[in-house]
Amino acid sequence: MPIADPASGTDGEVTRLLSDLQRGEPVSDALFRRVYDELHQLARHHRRRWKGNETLNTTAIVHEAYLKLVGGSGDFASRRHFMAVASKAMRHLLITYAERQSAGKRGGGEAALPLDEALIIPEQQSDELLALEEALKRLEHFDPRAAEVVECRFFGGLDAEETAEALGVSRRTVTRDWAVARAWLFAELSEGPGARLLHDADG
Amino acid sequence: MAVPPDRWMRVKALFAEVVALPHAERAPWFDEHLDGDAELRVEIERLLAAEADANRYFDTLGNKIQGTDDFEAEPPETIGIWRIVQEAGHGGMGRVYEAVREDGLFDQRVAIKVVESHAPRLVRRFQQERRILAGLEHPNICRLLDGGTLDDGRPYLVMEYVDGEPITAYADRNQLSVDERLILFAQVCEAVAYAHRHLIIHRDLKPSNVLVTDDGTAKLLDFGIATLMDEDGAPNHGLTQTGRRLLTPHYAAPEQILNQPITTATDVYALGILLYVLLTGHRPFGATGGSQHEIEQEVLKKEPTAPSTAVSKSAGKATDSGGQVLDLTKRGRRLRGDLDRIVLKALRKEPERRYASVEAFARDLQRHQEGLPVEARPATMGYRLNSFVKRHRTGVLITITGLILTSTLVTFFAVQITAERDRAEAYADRADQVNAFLTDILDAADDPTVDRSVLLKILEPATERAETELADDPDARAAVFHALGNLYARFGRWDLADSLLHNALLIRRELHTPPHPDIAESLYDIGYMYTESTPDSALQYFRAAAEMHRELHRGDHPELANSLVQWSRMMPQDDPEKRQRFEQGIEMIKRMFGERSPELAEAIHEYYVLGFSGGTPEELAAAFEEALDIYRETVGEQHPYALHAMNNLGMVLHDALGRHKEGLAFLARSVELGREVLPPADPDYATMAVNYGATLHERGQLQDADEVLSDIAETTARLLPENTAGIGQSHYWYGRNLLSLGRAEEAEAALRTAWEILRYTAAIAKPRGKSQPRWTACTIIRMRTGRWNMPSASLWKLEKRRKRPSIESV
Repeated sequence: MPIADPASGTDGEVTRLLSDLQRGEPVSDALFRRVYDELHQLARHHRRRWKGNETLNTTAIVHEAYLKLVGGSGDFASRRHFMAVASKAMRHLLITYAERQSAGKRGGGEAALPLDEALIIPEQQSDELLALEEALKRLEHFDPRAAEVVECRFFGGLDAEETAEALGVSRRTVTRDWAVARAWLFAELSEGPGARLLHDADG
Repeated sequence: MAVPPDRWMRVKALFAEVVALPHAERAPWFDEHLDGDAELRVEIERLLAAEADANRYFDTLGNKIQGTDDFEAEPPETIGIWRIVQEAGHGGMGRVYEAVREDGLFDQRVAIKVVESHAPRLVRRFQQERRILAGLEHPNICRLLDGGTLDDGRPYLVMEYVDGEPITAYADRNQLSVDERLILFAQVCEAVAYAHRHLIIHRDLKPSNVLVTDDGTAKLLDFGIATLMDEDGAPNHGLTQTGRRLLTPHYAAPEQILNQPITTATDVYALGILLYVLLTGHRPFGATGGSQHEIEQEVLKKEPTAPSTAVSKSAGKATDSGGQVLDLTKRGRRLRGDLDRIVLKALRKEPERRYASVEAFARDLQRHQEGLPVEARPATMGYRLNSFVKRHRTGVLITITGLILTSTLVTFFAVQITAERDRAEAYADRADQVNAFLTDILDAADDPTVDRSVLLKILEPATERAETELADDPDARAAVFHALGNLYARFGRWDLADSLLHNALLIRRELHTPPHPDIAESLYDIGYMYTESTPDSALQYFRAAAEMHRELHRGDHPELANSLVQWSRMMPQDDPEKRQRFEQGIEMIKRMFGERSPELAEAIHEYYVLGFSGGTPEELAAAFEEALDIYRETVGEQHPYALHAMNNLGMVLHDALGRHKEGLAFLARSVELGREVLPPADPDYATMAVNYGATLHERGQLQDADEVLSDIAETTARLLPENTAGIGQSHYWYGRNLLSLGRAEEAEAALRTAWEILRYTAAIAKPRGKSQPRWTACTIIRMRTGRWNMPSASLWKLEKRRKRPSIESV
């Protein structure tokens, strides 16, 4: 079905906030919040629509959110900025849910999640995601760009080309960063913290 | 837990290099490259060990999160007057539905392609496909019936529905004979030749794009990545870039893999592969699988097995009935001779050695069927020699001499050639690795968040590596020298930049016959290096570059446009051509990139910077302001280029127009933003900060100036490579300001540092305007300390003319 319903339409606010980015201003809370909320709503909607389907389909959600919030009025620059912000927001969203699920499992103080929300992260993935997030934060310290590539490729579900556009780097850089970041993250996850050489060299 | 970034950069670069190697070559690679560094080796081995599992892990986890479903889950029920019957598949850029007329007026079945996302590049390609198809009417080309836009803005195409199967499957299912296959193939050639006459190259011919219907009609599909040619038959470069990554490597021609111009010869090649598969049942390259990289290497280097041999080989392996073996053996005999030669001629690596046109290819096949002599002759020694010379020029020159002297040693020569070729290929592989390493570094050089002085430290060993390891590979050596030269030029190490860039040019001149893109690149960058120091030389180099680019590219081309702008910038102000060339370049950029593109802003900014443009201060200010506006609209205010424009605008407003307050504000903002987004060791940032500090000094805001200048003097001394211009400039102004503050001792120390470096840099390249700070430094020190012997006449003159270079090239 056509996704951007002209009646609900885009209100232009997000387009406006995005154009602030083009003037070099940092990502505003308002923009992040707006994108985050939209992703959240779409994620819940998707869970309801595809009962029994394990997949959250972040790729579709991010693209749908773009059509809803920006629609046909977006140009190349606003699109690439949007994709970068949305990938960050999607990471935040998934990690928030993973944390709440994991807290719920341990019988922590968090209130039980409403059903449609509980399904946003398949339960067995929440611990994996939290471990990944921890390693990703370490990577961010010494290679922020590679971490952003992971954000776009993994959390945002963007392809290499879109990631290159979103981050304003070459496609080749994206491919390389993605390859080395994946290997590094996986090595971290399977060995626990301690990129031996790098830490030693530091000390 | 900060990891040293240079260490990590190295890990990254090396990992990218080794991960591209086949497994068997990794161990020797480790021994060769990491022998002396056990720690590095351990880390890279750790990553390598994780790699395969990492891919699986992320794919699995990713699938659970991202979804493998495409953009749209459910198909629309109707599109225009068409009712969707079912989804027929989806490809790289769209989903294809089978549909019928909703009103039932005619019993017509169509295929509707809908673009899958709003990504502008996909939409553009889609619209391009529509334009291309609209121009083609041929019984063997799938027809475009209609097109439009969905409610949400996604474009769609309505096409003739082709109920058929891939040509190879059709031929096999119907057990067509060799001659029947050739007749079928002739239809395909006709369609492609027709497209070529309409200046359209298909570029992606493969069995799945050539369907055959039940009645035996071949239909060509998917002009998705076709390139429109210019009227004169030259490929349209604007579109070539999108083509490559969409390619199926098995059917890609060498020029497509190398990203070289695509011509009708590319389709001749793809038709050659198609015919090869049709006749033998095998693909000539990558028949046994392999990674994309491995297949590409085969396409570039391996000579295809003759079709008859390929068939006979599979006859030897056939385990089926004896009948099949007999059949294959018979077919092998049928292919031997003419057909082998025809197919191999179509598959030659060099486009100019293939058939000149699809018609010529088809004609030769027809002559063969009619029993006439064919155009494709056995590959002569001349041809083989020639193709080899291209691959490895120096090695062959010596061997050729030997051949002329002793013609009896032909056998020996042939052996020699094989050995030489193996060596040449080994070099090419290594050059690829060096290039991969370099590309990564150069990507990093363009990335404003990567510290350039760190980069230089990593690159230093690369110079040595190039000298020794690439002694036999002049092409790669020149590339390394060139890249390093550019980097040193950015740091103001004119001595090293000069020798490296000229070295690269010399090598390239020996390797290539002009006009050649590599030579043009060298000419341009040497010109650029000279802009500040010796504008006259810069003019000569830019002109040579522009002329060569004009020979190389018919019509618009970014490099031609840039060299026109640079050339015009260096022309004397009374030259009537100056304005004309500039506008030529600017118009070209507008046509290629648009009226408000960063590329245009860059050209305008470049032209006016350094004051060679001859514009009035008002014109300069207007130009920088326009560039800044465009940057703000497109790449954002924090982009390094925007900061350069802002800084220069500040300088013009302040120095030349007397608009002090505004000027200072722009300077302050550019430095403030630069401090946030640029690495501290960025030479351009140093220039911007010095401009700002010096202006504060001139306004008499000595305390503010001291804050800015002491900071930048300290940073440059600590972070920039030794003897770079930025250290000298910052210390010069830092010292002068200290003098005004009455802190003579500190001033002397700073000015001494400045003098040492400025003397050094100026002695090499005599940068315009930069001799003034040098002499002024002497002067001031002499005046204050009496330690320097300077003739007072020149001293006075210099002091009177004392003025810092007003618009820095940043």
